[in-house]
Amino acid sequence: MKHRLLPALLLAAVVPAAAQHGHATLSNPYTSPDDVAAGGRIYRSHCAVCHGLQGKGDRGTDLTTGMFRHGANDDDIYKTVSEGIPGTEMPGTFFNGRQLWQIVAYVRSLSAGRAAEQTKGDPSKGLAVYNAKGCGGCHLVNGEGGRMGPDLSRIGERRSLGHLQMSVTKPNENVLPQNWSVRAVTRDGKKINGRRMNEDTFSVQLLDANERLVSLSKADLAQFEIDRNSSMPAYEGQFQGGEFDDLIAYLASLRGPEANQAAE
Amino acid sequence: MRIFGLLLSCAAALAAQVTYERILNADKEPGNWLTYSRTYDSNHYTPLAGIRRENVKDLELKWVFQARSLEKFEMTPLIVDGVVYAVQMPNDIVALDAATGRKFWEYKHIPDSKTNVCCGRVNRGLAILGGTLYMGTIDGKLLAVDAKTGALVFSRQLVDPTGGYSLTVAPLVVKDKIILGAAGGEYGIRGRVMAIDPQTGEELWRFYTIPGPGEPGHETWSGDSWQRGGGSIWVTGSYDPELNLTYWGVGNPSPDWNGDVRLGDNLYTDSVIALDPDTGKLKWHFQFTPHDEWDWDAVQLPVLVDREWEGKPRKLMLWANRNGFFYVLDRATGEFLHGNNFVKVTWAKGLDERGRPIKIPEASPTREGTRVWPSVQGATNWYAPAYNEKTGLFYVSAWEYSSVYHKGDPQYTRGNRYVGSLPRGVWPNTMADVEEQQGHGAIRALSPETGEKEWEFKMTGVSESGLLVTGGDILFSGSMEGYFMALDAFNGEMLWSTNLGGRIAASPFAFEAGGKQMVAIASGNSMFVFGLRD
Repeated sequence: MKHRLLPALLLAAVVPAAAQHGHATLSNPYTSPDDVAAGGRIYRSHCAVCHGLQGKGDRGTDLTTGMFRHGANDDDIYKTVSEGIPGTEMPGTFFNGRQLWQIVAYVRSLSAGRAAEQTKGDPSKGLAVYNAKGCGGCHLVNGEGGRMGPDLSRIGERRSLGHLQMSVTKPNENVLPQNWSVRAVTRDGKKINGRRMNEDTFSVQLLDANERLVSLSKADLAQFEIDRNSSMPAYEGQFQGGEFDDLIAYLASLRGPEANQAAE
Repeated sequence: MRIFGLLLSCAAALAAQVTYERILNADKEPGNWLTYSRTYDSNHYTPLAGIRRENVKDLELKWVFQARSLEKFEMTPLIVDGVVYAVQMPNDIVALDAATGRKFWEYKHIPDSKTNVCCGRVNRGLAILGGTLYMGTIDGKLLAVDAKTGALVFSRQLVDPTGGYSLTVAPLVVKDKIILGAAGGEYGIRGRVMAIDPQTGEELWRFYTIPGPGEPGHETWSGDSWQRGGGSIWVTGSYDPELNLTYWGVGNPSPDWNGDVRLGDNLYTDSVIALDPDTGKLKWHFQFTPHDEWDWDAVQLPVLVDREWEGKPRKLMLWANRNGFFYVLDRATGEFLHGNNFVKVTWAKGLDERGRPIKIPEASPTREGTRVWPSVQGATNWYAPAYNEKTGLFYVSAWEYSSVYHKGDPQYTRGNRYVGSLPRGVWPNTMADVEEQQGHGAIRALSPETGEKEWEFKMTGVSESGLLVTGGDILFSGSMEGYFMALDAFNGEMLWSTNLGGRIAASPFAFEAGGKQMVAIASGNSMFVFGLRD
């Protein structure tokens, strides 16, 4: 017990007020660039295994969105890192107060860049470009449109501007496996094409060209092929004037129905 | 009726005493499963032959145990005279009727919440001796529990969780001792194997997997790095009663992905160690991955096989390692007899005449990242391989996959992670967000003589399932996709499969209930038991 006294006293100097008294929040006292860097070093060793090196999440949640379900104040995040979240895989840690604040500073930095990204275009003009190019034939936005391509309702939250630009001009550059296509022929000669939704050793699940959910047993297929290219045409050189920037601005503005309603 | 009932329960009471001799002669009672791998040779073979290639299509679900826990189920239960003893994650013990799955009792242990485990709050099973069950807990205790009632007999704190130590391994009974080791290779522990008095919980001997000053092997650690060198024990060892040696696979060095702070071979990490079970003295060791920088724990089951080698009978150990190589060792001496890669390997050109890998320097982790095969989860991992004397084949769940290994700056703080960054591409995923997560698994049958693949069953995803080969010539396995399947042990032909819906991260096992063979596996957080249709 003796050896625990000193760390406990040191910790008391920097633990959040809310943690000590149960009310009132406290801002992070350690936010210098050196603190963020120190927090980053700890993060990469201790947190990245679940939250990913870039903070984009894996087993753990995505930390780059700026949204924290278990409390978004600095001292909430401090408590989460220190004590863990009961009933989840998020464990408590044994860091001292300063180290915990440095982790909080680094976690904050992961979402800080999002506000800084600026688009050159006009989102409302971009909506017109989106409609004119027929994007809605394959993509859903807030429940309207087709389903053969990815749902874009929250694409602005999930992708950087650079990634959005690349996806429009060079869609084959980065096709996620859930957007690959399946071409199958059954043993009785029926052709089935569609968007690959899942696959395992014995079966494949897809959304066919008529937007029907189809599950096929591989044992019943005479032919089975996966096309890793995008089924979307490349739009490089297909825009005039500011159309491209407007379209990207529109895509970047898509942050879910709640956000779009608020904007309206 | 009442007298008959009393007689019956007395018989059950006598039968439930599990002596060392019963475990030693486990093949005389194949309907039971008395130790982690059923037999001391860890062959993961059952002589039960009620379920055979010609009737396996008639398997039906007999019962399910749904755990009140969402943690993955890595455990192999014990089956003793009609009772299944299982662990409900993280550290509850349940006693179930083997015929119906109904519960007799439950012992609940809530581990301290300030317990750090790298890869899930898991447990891999129990040991039994006499009428007492033994379980290590993730907060470092050894619990002894009455097999009849579930009452606690004793609780002994063996290791300190605030130092990153935990107990996840199923203990091994050897004679009058309970043998187990400490996990925590991602937390800078100093690994150890311990022998415990089953009556009192007192520690009888300890073998450090990281040698201290003055001990052989200490020179393989630079500076004071040995003090937090890892070398965890988290999968149960094997035992050869004729040689009186118990064999344990040792985990990775700490920190995992930055070897600069622990120059040298880092003995006895990533090694198999052969210990005298009476004294804990080291008889021999063989290191698979000297100075590991990829996290390739040697925690596979030591598979003990007696067969001819170059025309003479020899006591062998077969080992498909997480580092991608298959090894044949002489288990009396530790001599390396043969080795070859069983998956794609890009970190070593091969093995030299003593079995030491010929490393490729460019495969070490870098700050920018280095792509290396096999992946951080390894060519295989902790789940059971299997061997069958009749087919003469060694079976293994293999992963064809790579990771990008990054080197970071490890900072040791007591009880916290101490890894030195981490790799990208931990888990393959057929629907992954990124291309680099694409990979696939296979069940492979290897010839022990050549290490060459005799056949394979290729999978779309990968498997964390162990294997069980049976007297009915079936190889049972599972997949991360949730399939439980039966293959022909001779040629790998698919005979039967069913989708259990949850990730399988456990090994299949078999037992008898009501005189009939059952075969079972855990999927998700439940355990499914199958038998032939009545």
